[in-house]
Amino acid sequence: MSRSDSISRDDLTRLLDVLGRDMRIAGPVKEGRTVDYGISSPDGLLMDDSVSYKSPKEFYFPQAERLMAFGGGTAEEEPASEPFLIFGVRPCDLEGLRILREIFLSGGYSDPFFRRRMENNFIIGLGCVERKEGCFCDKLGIDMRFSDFCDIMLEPDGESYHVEHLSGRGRAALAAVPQTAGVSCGVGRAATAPPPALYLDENADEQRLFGVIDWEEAAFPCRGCGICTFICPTCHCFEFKDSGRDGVISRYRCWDSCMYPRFTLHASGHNPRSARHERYRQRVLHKYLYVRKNTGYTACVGCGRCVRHCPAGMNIKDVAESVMEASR
Amino acid sequence: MKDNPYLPVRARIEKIIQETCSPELDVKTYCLKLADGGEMNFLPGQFLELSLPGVGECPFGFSSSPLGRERFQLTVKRTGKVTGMMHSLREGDHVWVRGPFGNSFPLEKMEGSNLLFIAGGLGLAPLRPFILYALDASNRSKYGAVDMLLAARTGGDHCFTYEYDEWRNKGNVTIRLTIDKQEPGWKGLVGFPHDLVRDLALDLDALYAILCGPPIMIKAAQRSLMEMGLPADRIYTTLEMRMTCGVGKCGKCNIGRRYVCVDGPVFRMSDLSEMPAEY
Repeated sequence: MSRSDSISRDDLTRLLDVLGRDMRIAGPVKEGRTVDYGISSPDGLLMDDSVSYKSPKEFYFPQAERLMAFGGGTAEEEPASEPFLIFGVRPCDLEGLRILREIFLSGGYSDPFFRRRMENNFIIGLGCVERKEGCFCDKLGIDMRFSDFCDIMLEPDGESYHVEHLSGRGRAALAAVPQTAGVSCGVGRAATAPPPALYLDENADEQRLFGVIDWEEAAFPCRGCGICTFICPTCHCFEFKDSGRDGVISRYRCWDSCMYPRFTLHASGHNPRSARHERYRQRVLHKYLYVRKNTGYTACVGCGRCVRHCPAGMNIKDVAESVMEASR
Repeated sequence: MKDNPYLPVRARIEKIIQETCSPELDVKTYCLKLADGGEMNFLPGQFLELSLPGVGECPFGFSSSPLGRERFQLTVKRTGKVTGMMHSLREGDHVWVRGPFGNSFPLEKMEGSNLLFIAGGLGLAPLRPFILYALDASNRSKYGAVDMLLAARTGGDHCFTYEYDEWRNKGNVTIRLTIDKQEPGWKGLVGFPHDLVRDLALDLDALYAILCGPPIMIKAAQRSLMEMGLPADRIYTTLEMRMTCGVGKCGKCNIGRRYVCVDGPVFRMSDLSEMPAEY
């Protein structure tokens, strides 16, 4: 039986139909044998409990995006892209976006491209029903059923969804659709999860953590392919690339990876992180210690993607746990 | 620029000075002026990002005096794609720049002290704004003795040699030049800064040391200075890293919790010694 703060799947589709008139809709879709984020009509979206291969970070920080064109006298900034409605974002990924917002918008400089997308995109979150293989969001203090970092949050409840609006835009969107206008949202739901069990002391000495475990052994299986950084919801390193077309030279921002040796290579040939285990250590400690020291957030949300998809079977949870144990 | 730190502006190359010209070390200094007539207000130690459209963008420390804001200089060694193309440009050509970025040397904190500059090769370039600032008539009385130990691989590899006499004439300035191996006609010192610094008569209680050079030189020279008794909080250096964005986002210059492009490039050795040695 449907509760007053519930909407049916059919009504949810109608809501998406209406919102889709003003925004492109992206969400989990079937691509071959995998599930990934894609542009889709509302009836093509997957509404089950499956988790996408990549994170939704590309709707805020695309894998490659044009930043500007070199004009005759001035650099011409790329205009804001059309907003997306992103459907079905899991609580871990919503927390990942919260961390990316902190990184891109704070620290003295605010990234205008990320900021505009934060302002313009519309997110509908979707709580998980079951924990998947490799997932460990609970260890990071994340409630797999709920996050408030979105406009509307849905929690599966049998054949319908418990719905909560978490922004003025979210409330207005629900009110504008006849089928959902009457839904009384249970405003005030907070995430409920035990405090994080997996974290490093933010006062930990950086140099000391270089020695508390054998990083060479920990990183031994790593092939340095960097797939973990590409599918990660919080990895955000980038490089600029220039490309010309029709006589206009544009500058693009492209994802880069701390797992690649060229990432830190100096022009002189000197490389501060020339060994693979040094680069792996950078990835783990950047997530679990450095970002935490700077922002208070652990930059891992336990989504499990890097655990599920690493071709060498690396497990960041196990490594972070061993660092935590050894540094006590 | 204010709202979008990634957008560069055009600058005109007013003058090019060939500093050194061996096959291994081809260095030119570029005197630049913003095309819109604006000023580049930078502090000694800061850097900018220079773009050649279609080729790429690289960080360069300012190498000129911060007191002359209408024009500024960058000193560039021909090394890779951007610097290679840069070396083919001529006076009157344009480049694109954005900045200044990063922190600066603590000029006021060092007032009243003697200054020792140790530079290896092109490491003198990012120290030169501080040297020119401290030696300027309006500031000279604020600092005591200024000693320089300037190292290069060979006798022809020192930069800004055309200025040394002028620097010496500012009073209480000593410049010592050294090269790696003796060569015919060389009248300066021979050897590495970390050895030679031990021979200098320095008043360690009234001294700040400022170092820049290859990472191996920085590490060795600071070890010598500390063994001589100079406290780590009186030794400063400026680091080179692959700084793509300049605004602490891209992750390339990350060392521990710090980003060289915003928390540096100038570091006090006492802070640097707490950081992982990933530089």
